[in-house]
Amino acid sequence: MTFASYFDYTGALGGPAAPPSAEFLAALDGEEWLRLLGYCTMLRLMAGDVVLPAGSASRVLHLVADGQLESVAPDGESISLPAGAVFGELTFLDGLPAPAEVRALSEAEVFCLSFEAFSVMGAREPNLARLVLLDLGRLLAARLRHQRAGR
Amino acid sequence: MTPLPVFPNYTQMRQPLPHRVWDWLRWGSIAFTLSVVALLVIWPRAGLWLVWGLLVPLLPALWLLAPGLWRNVCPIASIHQIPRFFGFTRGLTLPRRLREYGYVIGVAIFVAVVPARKLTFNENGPALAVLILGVLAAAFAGGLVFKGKGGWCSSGVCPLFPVQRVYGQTPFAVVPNSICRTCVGCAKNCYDFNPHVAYLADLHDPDDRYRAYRKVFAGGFPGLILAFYTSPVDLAWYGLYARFALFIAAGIGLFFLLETFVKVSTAKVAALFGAVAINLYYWYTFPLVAENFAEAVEADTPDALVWSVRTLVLAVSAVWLWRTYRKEQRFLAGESAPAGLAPRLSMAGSVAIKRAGLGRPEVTFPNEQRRVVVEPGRSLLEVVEQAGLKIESGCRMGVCGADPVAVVEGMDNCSPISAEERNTLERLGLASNTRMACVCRVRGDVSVSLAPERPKTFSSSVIAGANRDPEVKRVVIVGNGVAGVTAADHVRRRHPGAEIHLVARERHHLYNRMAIERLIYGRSAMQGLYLQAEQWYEDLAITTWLNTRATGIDRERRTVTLGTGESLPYDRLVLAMGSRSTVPAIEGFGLPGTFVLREADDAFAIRAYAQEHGCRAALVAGGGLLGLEAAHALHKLGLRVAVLERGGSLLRRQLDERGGELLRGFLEGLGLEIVTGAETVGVSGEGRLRQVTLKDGRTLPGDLLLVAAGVTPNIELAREAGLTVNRGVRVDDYLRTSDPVIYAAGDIAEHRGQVYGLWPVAAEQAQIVAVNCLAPGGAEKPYEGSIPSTLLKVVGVDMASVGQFDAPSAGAVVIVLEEPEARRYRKLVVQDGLLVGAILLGYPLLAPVVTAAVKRHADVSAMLPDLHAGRWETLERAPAGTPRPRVTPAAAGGGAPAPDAARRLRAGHLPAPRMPVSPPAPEVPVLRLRALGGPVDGASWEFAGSSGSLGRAGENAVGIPDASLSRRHALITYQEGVYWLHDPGSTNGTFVNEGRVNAPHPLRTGDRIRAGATELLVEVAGPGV
Repeated sequence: MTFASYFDYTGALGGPAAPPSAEFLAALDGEEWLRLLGYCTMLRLMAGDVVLPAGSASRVLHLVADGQLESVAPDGESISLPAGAVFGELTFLDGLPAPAEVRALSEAEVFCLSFEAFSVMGAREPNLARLVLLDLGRLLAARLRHQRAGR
Repeated sequence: MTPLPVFPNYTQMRQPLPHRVWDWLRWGSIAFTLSVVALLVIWPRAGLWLVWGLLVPLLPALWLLAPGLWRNVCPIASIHQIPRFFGFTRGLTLPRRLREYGYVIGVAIFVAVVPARKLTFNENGPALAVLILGVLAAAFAGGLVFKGKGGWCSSGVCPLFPVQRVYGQTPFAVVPNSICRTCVGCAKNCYDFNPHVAYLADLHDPDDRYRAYRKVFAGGFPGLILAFYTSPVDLAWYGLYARFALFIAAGIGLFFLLETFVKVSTAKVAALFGAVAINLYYWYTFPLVAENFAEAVEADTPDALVWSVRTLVLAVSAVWLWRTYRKEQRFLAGESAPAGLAPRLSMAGSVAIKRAGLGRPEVTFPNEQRRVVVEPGRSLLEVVEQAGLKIESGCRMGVCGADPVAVVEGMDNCSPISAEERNTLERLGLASNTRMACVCRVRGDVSVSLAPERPKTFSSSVIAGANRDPEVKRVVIVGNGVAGVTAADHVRRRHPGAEIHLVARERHHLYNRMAIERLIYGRSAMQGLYLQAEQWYEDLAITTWLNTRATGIDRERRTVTLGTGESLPYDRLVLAMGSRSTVPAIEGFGLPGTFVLREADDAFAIRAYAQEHGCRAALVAGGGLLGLEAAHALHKLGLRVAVLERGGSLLRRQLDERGGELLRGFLEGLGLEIVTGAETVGVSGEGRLRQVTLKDGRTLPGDLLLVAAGVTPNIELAREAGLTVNRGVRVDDYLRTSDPVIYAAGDIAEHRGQVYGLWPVAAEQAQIVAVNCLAPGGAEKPYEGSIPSTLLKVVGVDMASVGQFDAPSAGAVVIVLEEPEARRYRKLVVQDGLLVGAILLGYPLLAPVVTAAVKRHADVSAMLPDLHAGRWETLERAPAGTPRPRVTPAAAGGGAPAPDAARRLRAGHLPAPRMPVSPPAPEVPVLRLRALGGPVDGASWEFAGSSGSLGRAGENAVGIPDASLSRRHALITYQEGVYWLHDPGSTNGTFVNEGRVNAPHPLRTGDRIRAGATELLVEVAGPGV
């Protein structure tokens, strides 16, 4: 886990600058979102349900529709995942085990985009899939920049 | 106004004083320090009193309460910043080693200097002055060379920095950094940038060593203070340092002990040690300070004051500790907050996602703790697969029995059980709440277990009062595929006392052959593929001969000879030997690296070969169902796959050209390469496959070739026994071979010239065989033939083809709807008002409705407008129709059975008219063309806002088999409410109302188009016309 976001020097370098948006797929309109969600599976969770076990290599991108989840690393560190949060993007992209367990803190609803469903989207709606990939890439690049700036 | 983040950085805080004021304060601080240095030299006693008796004791309190104030006016920092202030710093980035070890250097200096106080600096003013000047010079040099505050303050080289980090981690009053007008990013986790969280970030840093340096100091710090105040003054220097080392080591040891055994975070332990350190410090220091003051004013130190201060320090540090602990939670949670770059949904996404699941049924999997919200009409199999839960799949038609699940609650919310599913469920013999997941569709909330209850003993669903010939006591079945096992099951249901032998060439019990592709890319082997438990055969008293070949049939003595030398007498014999892969003439086939895929062992061999030889590229010869499913499996194994299709499009037996085109686009989107017009004629390579040669001379490199060119029925045993065979073993309408006590079912049976080669057909035939072979006279239940129904089991394709997809005659109605953007395509073929065939690409919810409607020859004559408008779900209500009488069956063994009607029509009659129609929308005018005379007299075509071509070739939207037409004779385009006719240069010309079309011509109702011998009447209907 890194905490580079607390040390976002880039905005301060040479004066204030707008930080990059962390919004996922801000360019999509409502209709496009519905098409994207059509490739997703919606899970309902009870408090305590584990949606992503630590070490799981299932390539699924998760979008929190409602409720509160938390990601808990093996050392006990936790990150809050409220409605609107997106998680699992690293494992979705590289297929390596998830570093932390994600569980629901309250009743919650989560949309899951599996890599297989994403492949289908790529074949059926390549433009939509391209936007998803590019935006994930943008967010990861921004995160990498922040980490570098924090070193 | 944007709210401040939980832990704002200094650029986001309000400065309490103008920068100019801070600058003057810093100059004042430098001047004051130099004055103290002078005092130390000139009047050491006063200087030492001032430094050790007043200034230094104040610092820990200041760092605890308002560390930012100190960091803004620290004289060392001020000196350090002079080169930057005047613009003569070299501004270099700190070298990597200094970045890593700066903190260690600072700690080392601090630990070295503190004991030295007792040896020198407590008593020697000039020495202390030199020390201070040395520190100031070093700080200045750091500022001269390095950028920002990296040369001293923030890199950790400053010996006071480690103490400030510990005490200053949770300031009571935050004074923002006033030194760095612009941040130059000179240090990691810069305290001046974000004082709230800098130390926490250090202690949560992913770098173990980076964290360890901080932990060592925090652990040793209380010990260092204790050593300072408890060490005797007369100790030799080495004894003093040894004592310090001992105390520090004890502290570090205790720190790591607590960290290991107490279930709290490192940051909490470090904060606890910080609180202990400051209490120890003032416990010992304050009495000394008070004493100094008392001496100065020649008074006694009141004990009450000492204890009051000690208590105050304890209270303040307790509050500080509590605030520090509380902060850590917000710090960790805040990493995913907007201040970070953890992705979060956009506003449009948040709104859409809230709506998406409203009012939908829920499927609960209690054992897996999963609740999935689903689209009504989805099959349980789709739901399970989407939820990422483990399940097998097979035919996806409810016939093979690969995917039984138990509906624990909500059976009423599931689709009803069909006859096919009922048969499968009875064969499996599981608990009564079992459903086949692939055909059980969700209509409301249900609760599902993926492990249906197995009975202790399997029993057959006995059919009471079954009509049977008392002379039939022994039934031998050759072949244990779905036809053989279904026949055995149904014989047992009708004849509990019969002796049943099942002879199997393969070494496996009945397994899910349709899922063998999974053996190529999946990790598991045969687990889950077996469709019946081994116990099932025992409980039903079906004697199974695995890995045993039937080598001969003695029809006179009614025995089957086995490869083991044994022979099995029979009263009735059922042949269900299935088929094998067809391998066309490919020169060199058999070279290592060349495969077919028919049995589980083939799949194992392919997977093993791909791994052993590190295969990268695979070629699949054959663009049929098996070829495409195998290609997808190889793709999932990680190989680059090219499908070589001999013809012009894919799935020619299931799809028309447009469907094939769309499927091709989809598969290419998934990552498969599709090569059409590619007939494989040879393979070559030294020792193993390296390249494939096509008929046109092209060569393609590849490590592995899988030939999927269809199947050949295993008829050799029947032929040698003298039974009538053609492509398969010929059977009559009761599935009898030319020997009335020998029956055939499945891939081996040729009925009315048709060898189906489909799993559901094999199961259907086997059930009829079981009835007839036991019935007196052997001919109780006729077989009327099957309507072929196929699915392509490639993820996301959602392809279903059922019945005839070409119009059987010119009077047929063909409805074609396409959504090009979504790559969805559907087609219905209606003959004499009855539904005779359909193609669906991308309509998984419609597939079961349409398939069932075609199979019952639904009468749709009254619902054509609905079907034209795309409302195909109405087919559920369409009544069953009566098909035209089929061709009279020929007797088995004699003359050739009559050819299948569809084949006859395809071979001898005109090609089907094709009508590409976009999804009809009421605002789009519809163009209708009706043939008046010519080879397709009476045929009609419709365009709804779409374009297409007219010509003699079959791929045209209006395809007319007229030799006087050019291949692509004319074009019809749609633009802003008008249909236009173009002639791209046809040989014989296109005419509208007898005027030759030389430029685009708008079409209106009543126009007559003449092209070759065909005249087409134009009708345009709809809005704007």
